[in-house]
Amino acid sequence: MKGVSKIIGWIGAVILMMFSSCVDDVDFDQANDIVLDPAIELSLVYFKFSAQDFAEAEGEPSYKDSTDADLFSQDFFEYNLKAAEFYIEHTNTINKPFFAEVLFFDANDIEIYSVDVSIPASTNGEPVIIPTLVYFPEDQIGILKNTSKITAEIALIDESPPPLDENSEGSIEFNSSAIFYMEFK
Amino acid sequence: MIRKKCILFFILLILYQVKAQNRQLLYNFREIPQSVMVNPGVEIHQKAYAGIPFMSGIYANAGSSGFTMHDLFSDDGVNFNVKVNRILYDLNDKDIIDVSEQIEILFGGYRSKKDRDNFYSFGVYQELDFYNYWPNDIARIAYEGNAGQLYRKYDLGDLNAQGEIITAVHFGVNRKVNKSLTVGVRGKIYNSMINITASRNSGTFVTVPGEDNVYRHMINADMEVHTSGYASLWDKNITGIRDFFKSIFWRGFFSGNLGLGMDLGFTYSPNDYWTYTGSLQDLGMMFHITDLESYTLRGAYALEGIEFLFGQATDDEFLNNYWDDLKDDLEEQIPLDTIKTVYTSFRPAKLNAAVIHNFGNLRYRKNYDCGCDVDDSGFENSVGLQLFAIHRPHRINAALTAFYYRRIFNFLRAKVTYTLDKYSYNNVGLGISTHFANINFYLLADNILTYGNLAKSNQASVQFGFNYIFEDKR
Repeated sequence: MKGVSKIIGWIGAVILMMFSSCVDDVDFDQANDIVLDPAIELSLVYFKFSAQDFAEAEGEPSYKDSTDADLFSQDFFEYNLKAAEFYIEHTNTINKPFFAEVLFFDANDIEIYSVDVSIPASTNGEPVIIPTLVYFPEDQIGILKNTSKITAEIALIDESPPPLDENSEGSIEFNSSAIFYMEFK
Repeated sequence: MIRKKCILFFILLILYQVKAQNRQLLYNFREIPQSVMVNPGVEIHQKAYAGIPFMSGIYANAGSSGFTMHDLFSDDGVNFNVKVNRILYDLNDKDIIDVSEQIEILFGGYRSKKDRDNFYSFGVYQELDFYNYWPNDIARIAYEGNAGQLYRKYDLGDLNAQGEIITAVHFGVNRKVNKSLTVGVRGKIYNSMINITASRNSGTFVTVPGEDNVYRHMINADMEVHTSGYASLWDKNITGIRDFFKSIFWRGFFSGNLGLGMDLGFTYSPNDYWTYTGSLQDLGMMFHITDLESYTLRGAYALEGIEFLFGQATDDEFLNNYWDDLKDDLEEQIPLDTIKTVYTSFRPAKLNAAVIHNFGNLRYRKNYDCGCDVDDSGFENSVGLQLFAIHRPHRINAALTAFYYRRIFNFLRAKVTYTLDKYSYNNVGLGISTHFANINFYLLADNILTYGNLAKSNQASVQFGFNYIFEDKR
């Protein structure tokens, strides 16, 4: 029986040895340092007007529309949005220039940011493409997080005759997308 | 400090169980009574045995095919995020993290008095099994986002995981049909303590250039995650592992979620030189009928953004709930539902097969009397090849093992294995079975080359236990 306990002791020692040397030079606290920084790309607002849409109104007609936009004040963005880049693209095939404006409002309906774009007239229906990049770096991202309403406005600048009528051709298009740079710690 | 790390390592081992339950060392190791658990048709030489309760079979196994603890947590001064990045781009959807643990609560066996060709074995064990195929595309989108990935199809079907804790009551019959053939069968009743199954998922997410806007995002999803024994945990105040096990302890006896399973096996020895064995384990199903909660995400959606509709040419402020409407629409088209639904899950079925060549001294030390009932018929050496395969939903993992077995002394038998599988090409295992008086102690460990630093190992398993062997005075 003495031999038995000796052998069992020996085996126990081997097991202990194996397990006590099990992990060298490992630091599990590093897991706290992890940072995830995905970039999410999303299509945003779009609209399109034909030349006739502007023919119906007198003077210098404009169109304006707004959407609620509490997106950025929700926790997902509020805590983790680090920077954002908006891409706006106007495509004009009407032989008149336009003026476009995108406005950001906070919860008190106070304008906190605006993007102005001048779009030259098209000649012979050739598309005029005006890309606009709006970047919100880390120190300005608060503007976006305070936004609760976004308004888009497009106005015809009728500099010279003839005015647009129901036979006028072409369209003005608004496309937009954004890349949201996130940071999860 | 080292000890603390070891404890943490083993907790991780148990929590993030890794690899595939290959019992290459135990298989055909006939001095170890538990070999009947991997092949109910093994040749049994004992008259009777009884495991020391809770100490007869303790098994733990963890593996990760794509990376090691060392790759990730090595204290080498490299920024952790750099290491994560390195590993992430190395992994793919075929990589698996697999952890299992098994403790025999009771185990025993005896030879029939009426018919000495029959041997009965029985017992109760508890088992934890978790596997998770690396959800490659889902992880990529979480890690780097979808920016700049036009046309890339993210496969939502990459979510393929199952975790369960069960107890099993089993009874097996082993019969020596004739001099060369032994067959066996074992019936099992499983009792599920907790089960989470996410194995039938499909869907894609892709971004393409839009028709009306810059991009069009398209998602279609047919995803479900089933759970049983999970919902009721919410009502309990669980703050740690201990609370968790306390909460599920009584379910080990009767949870209401039961399953049935079967093992089959044979040993065929046409002559003294050659032996062929094969077994199928855990051909079984679990029926989940109580304490259920399932989550489903089904539907399809294509999004180009929000179209401003403009009421008319006006200076008035038009405020529309486009954004809220979009959210509502999305939730309606791809609803995330929580439902109670009865479901079935499969146990991971396992296959073992071996070709064995026996050689060396015949009837080795037959005359030596050690009084410990160690079988001494046959040759003192064996070499052979073993095949192991385990079935997981959608996939089968396989391993090939070459082994050498030797009866060193009457009180010491050993087996060395070399195993090739997707985890590693240098898996050397060592198993010993000792016999002193009537006590059998065995210790089986694979990947022993990495024991110097387990953290560098992709996979490691260890099994040990104590049995009491009844002398056969035949």
